[in-house]
Amino acid sequence: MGSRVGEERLVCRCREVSEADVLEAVRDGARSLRGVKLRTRAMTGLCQGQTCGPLIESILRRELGPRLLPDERPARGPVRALPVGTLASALPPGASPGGRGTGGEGR
Amino acid sequence: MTPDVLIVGAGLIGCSCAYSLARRGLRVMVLEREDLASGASGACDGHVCCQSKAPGPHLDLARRSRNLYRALAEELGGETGFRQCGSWMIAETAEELAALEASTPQRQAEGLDVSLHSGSAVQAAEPILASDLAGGSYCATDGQTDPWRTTLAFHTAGTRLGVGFRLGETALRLLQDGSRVTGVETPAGCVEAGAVLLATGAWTADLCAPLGVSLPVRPRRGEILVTEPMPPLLNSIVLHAPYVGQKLHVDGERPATLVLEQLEDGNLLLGSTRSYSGFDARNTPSGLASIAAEASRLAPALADLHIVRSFTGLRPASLDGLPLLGPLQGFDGLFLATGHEGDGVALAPITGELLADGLTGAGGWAPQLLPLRFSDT
Repeated sequence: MGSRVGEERLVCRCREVSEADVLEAVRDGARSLRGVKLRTRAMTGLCQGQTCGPLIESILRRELGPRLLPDERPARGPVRALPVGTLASALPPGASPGGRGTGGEGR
Repeated sequence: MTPDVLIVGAGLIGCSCAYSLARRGLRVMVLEREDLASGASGACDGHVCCQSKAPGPHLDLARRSRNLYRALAEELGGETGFRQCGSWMIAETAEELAALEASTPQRQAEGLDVSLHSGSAVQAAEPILASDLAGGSYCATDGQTDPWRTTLAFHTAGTRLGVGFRLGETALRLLQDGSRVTGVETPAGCVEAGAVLLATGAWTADLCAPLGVSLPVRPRRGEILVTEPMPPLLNSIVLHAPYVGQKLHVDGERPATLVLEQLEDGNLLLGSTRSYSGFDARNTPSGLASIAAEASRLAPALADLHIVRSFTGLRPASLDGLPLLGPLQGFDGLFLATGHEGDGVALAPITGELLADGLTGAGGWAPQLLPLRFSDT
């Protein structure tokens, strides 16, 4: 066993996505963090990209320069994993959908 | 080289249409302002469900599409994630069960393999569900797919057949010569084409507005929660019976109705809400809490699972729950494939086939699916 180096290094440990996988996604047309997520599943694990997101962004910036598209969408809640039952108990009586948002288009 | 068909939108619908058209030998180009599956296709569940569809043309479309899904991965040469896992439509109350019972004979008569079961049978089949349900109906041939993988598989197969995907290129407006649509203007210039096909989901009405057409397609917001990955907890996809009725209430906010699936990776998706909020695609605290409350009541064990993410999709809602497929009446060279609301995943393969048959003249257009069918009323 040895530490992974270069393009073999894991950039997303949750989903075991390597730098080579990210570069392959770029070759396939990804120009944003979301594009990498779609093609590799990086950033969909338990940390939700909190660790790997900035690293992948730096790879994209290096590869794409000004062609990197900004990810305008804000991070998706919850910031920390939250039990379903806890969220359910947060529903105020008579509440209905449609209030101010917390951010979060896209999967 | 001028494409025979210029498709706007590289979501699941646009990619399916691109593949079906290219397979028939047409030259196809796709313009996409962001990336693959950037709209509703990237922010939805993966239900390929027939028993939630109204008998008649809706169920017929869904069954034909589901049949296509079975062989799709092999045909495309890439994983779609489709799995024929079966579906449960669950009834919490006697009233909900009576409605399920009433609709079952017609669905069976149309050839759907749906059967009614007691609450205890439902719970025996899916132990995560509440023990006091009134009952449910089961359809063994329903399934789930992976919308991301399915989109990528159509994209890869289309690319292999020569489809030119231009990602990151926005369609600014349609080019017209009288009543004929001749192409699309983009920031890089004008693209002429034999025909233009809009697969732009909830954004289609905006592209049609300069033509003087008020297209009856509106963005409808659906919110979904994602849990941490778990060992297998569900065998089938699950829908709470009122989910079907909510769709046809075209006005106002609808309460969350539970839809459940477990992804291949182990995460569970808990949905969903329906509301009109323009193009505001943010999650709402009340919407997410309503889904969590529904989930905790109908499947109490879910209350202990951790939510790791939430997301929202803007689904293209039509007035009658059926998609808008075919030529935009009054114009030459302009075709639509939109209005699927929450059925875009289930109906993607058949949508591509119907558009390709219609555009090549191999098939006709179904009058009940024409884009401006609502105008007479």
